[in-house]
Amino acid sequence: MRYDTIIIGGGLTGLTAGIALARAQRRVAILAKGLSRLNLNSGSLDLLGYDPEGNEVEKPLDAIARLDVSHPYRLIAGEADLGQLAAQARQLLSEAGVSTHGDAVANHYRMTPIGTLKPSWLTLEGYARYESRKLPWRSVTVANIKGYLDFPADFVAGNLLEQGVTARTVDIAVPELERHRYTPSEMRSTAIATVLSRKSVIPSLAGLLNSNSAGSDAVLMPALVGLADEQALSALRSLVNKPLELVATMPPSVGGTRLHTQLRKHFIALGGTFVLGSTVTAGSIANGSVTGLRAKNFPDQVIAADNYLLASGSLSSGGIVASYERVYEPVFDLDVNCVTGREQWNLASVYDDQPYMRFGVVADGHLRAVKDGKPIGNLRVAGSVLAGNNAVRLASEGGVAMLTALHAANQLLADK
Amino acid sequence: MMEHYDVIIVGGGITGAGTARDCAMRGLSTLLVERYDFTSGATGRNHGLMHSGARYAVTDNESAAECMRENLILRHIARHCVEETDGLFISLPDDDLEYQSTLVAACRRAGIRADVISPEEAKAIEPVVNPELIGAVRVPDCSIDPFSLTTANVIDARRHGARTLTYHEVVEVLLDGTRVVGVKLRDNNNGALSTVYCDILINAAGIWGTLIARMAGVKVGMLPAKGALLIFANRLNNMVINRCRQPSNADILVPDDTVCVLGTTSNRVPLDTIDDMHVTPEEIDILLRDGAHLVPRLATARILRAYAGVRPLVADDDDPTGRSISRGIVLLDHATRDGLDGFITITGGKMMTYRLMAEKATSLACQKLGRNVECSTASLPLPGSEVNLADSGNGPRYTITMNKAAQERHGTLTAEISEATGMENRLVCECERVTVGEVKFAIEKLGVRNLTNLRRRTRVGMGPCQGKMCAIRAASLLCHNGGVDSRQSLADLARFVDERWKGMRPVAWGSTLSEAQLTQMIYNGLCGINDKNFPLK
Repeated sequence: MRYDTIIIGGGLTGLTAGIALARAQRRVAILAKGLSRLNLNSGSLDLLGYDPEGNEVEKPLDAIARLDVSHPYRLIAGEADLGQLAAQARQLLSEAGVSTHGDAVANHYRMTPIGTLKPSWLTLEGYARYESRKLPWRSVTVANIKGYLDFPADFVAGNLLEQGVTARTVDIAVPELERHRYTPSEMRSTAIATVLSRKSVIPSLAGLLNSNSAGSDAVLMPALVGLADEQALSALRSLVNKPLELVATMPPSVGGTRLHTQLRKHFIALGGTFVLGSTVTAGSIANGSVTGLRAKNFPDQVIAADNYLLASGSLSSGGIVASYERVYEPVFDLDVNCVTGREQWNLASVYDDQPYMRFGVVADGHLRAVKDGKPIGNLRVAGSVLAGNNAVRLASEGGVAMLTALHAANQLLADK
Repeated sequence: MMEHYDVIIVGGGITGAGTARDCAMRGLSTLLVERYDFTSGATGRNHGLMHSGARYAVTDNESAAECMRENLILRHIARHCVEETDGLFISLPDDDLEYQSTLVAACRRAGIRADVISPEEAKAIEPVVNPELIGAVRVPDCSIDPFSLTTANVIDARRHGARTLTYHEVVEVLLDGTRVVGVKLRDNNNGALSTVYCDILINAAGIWGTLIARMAGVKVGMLPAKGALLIFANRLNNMVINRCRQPSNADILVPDDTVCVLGTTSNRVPLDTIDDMHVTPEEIDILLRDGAHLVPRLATARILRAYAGVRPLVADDDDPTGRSISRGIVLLDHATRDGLDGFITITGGKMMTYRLMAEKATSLACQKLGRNVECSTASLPLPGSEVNLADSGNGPRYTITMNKAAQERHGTLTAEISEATGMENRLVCECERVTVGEVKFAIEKLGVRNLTNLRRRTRVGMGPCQGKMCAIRAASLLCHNGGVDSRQSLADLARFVDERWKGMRPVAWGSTLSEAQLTQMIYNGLCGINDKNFPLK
């Protein structure tokens, strides 16, 4: 089968672009290596939470002008309406069955796994989110699942107290998890969520949450419900007799896993091809165009399409490699924006604005990849592999992923 | 009420801990003071090598023989801290095989077993060695855990009545004429000052001992020698691998639990830099280049972190230029040397000769106090090593692997890890297989109150993920079970993540840099833990 577009990378960026193209009847294949960074997801997507000085951003679209010109948002701002892209992103999620709250005009707050607040763009239905730093509760119950180590309930309670909310912690002993509790490796988020999302377990979990939260205005529990879709969580919420909010846990993220699953299913339902476990090893370029790819699991085959999208992620995803000698993009050896000299890559404190966090590939305003200073006509780049974005400091990972993916897809659609 | 001891020992490294144990076992009333945590100085930045002595056999046969005797003692009294790996001295094509014969002859003179084996046999028993080797000698080197060794000495010192004070720094040595009578201490947690008195002050502060001596008004010439080391993410070798040549850079690779450690470089550094050691890119280059000769796989293996320790080289008293260095144990009786009574300095030596150093210092203290008590530290096992767990049939408690991991750290003390709730076997640190039960044990029985303390007692955060997954689990247990306030515990976590980065930074490329980025994404990104929300100081 001949594809219109092959996308390298099956995370949020690749799936967003893939869906946008597939719903316009383009033949698209996604080559996904494996784990997506959505496994670290907070249950929210951030567009721009902080400015370059580290101050909280209230209106993300307005604050984009304060970013360095090398930032991906600035890169595409001349060619695209970012507000429109953001609305398109939310619509795309909704079509995939992912209900979210929030918009790009004004940030809201999401709750971190330690009970503090961070500005955010879109938050999954059912997850803790607040319009201001003043929480709407006087007293809450923080209900952890007994034996679960990756939700520090004491920290959540401590930080809520600092925000003026009385918080009581309880351990919920769900009988169906009895066996898991005594097996060292079974009390992980996804294993627990598999059990807690069962139709048969939800009523007993709701009962325990009700009986353990008397007198509280709301119940906060770790995000351990809803691994495949929204039904389990909505069933649980309808049975709990007060507001129930999910708080993100330490990885792996159940919300992120669900988001990834829903997007992947939606992409496939639209006719897209999703190849999991496929590491692209090399791409060949002739006369300013990509002519084909080689992948580990198709050793004898050149994979070719009209267009390509590189959505391979940042350093930790392997989209960029920093070796002992140099920083490079491993598939096409594209032009990379980085600082030379290993000692210049980083700074003394882990909390400094680390230069390596901004390493990535260079692209033009149409998100065409650049090699040896020249744009490659049929290769677009999107998401965390783009240079110039310290996604952790700016709280901008999800926005950069989705907005650049949509911009790249929109251009590919406009080309024909 | 004046607080008075027979002896006060300064320094919570292995020498101070060993001396406190010996003094307490000989019935002296004993106080051990340490300015930070136990093992926070050179002991915690050690190679983890329990020499057979072969390395010193050619250059200093007497020290070599001393090593071998202590090696045999530690295998018995500290068996839970020792892994009997044996070691190889390999000759490469660049090396002179004559040196191998010289080494073997010298080892035999020092009572060290040294078996010449063929290159083929060496490759068969230790497949990672450079396959181009031209000769190999097998010696009784071992791997030793300086953290659990120190902890065991501290526990035993306390069991024999010693008092120990961590985070207490000596800020003044009190003199009465020509006699040391006590010290003024500052509590480094709250700044409070206190005074304690003694008949004998034992200076066991390693390189920092030169500053303690200065406070007492005497001069002990020490030359700080920095040694940089690299920790690799996997245990590549099962035996200690040495280069068979005159001791030089990066010529020893020591297996250590789940990792291996390559060292070392050796550079004199100024005294005012010893509290702030950084590994330089040049040192990394030297270690990697020379290490890859020894074991070629090191060139591509993932490096976890780099660190540097400072060894005290003591200037020879007989040489006024200070150029001549004593390599062995240095015991200074300042009464005879400087006319200052009640003050002893014990320094020089090696981590693995700590027991002998402690014995010498304690014997001198006993002699000064007029107590005639024999030393028994060479025969009485340390807590954790009373029986050989391998022979005792002390079967697995949780699962075999976790029990083994805990036993390697705590020996028979593992029996004190509670199983009360049945959920203590959940893993906090997956890399090092540290359970909830072991963390609770460290909080309740070993007095741990912060993550760095916990790392030194249990290895939490020392494995391939460098705390990425376990640090917050451990921090929340310290909060929940250790009574540490939530905000304080989060600030501790913020510091711990930064401290882990410090060691990764010199080797931050490849997967080490990827791991660092993931850690940023999780702690700063997902959780909002950073120096702005939780100030590091």
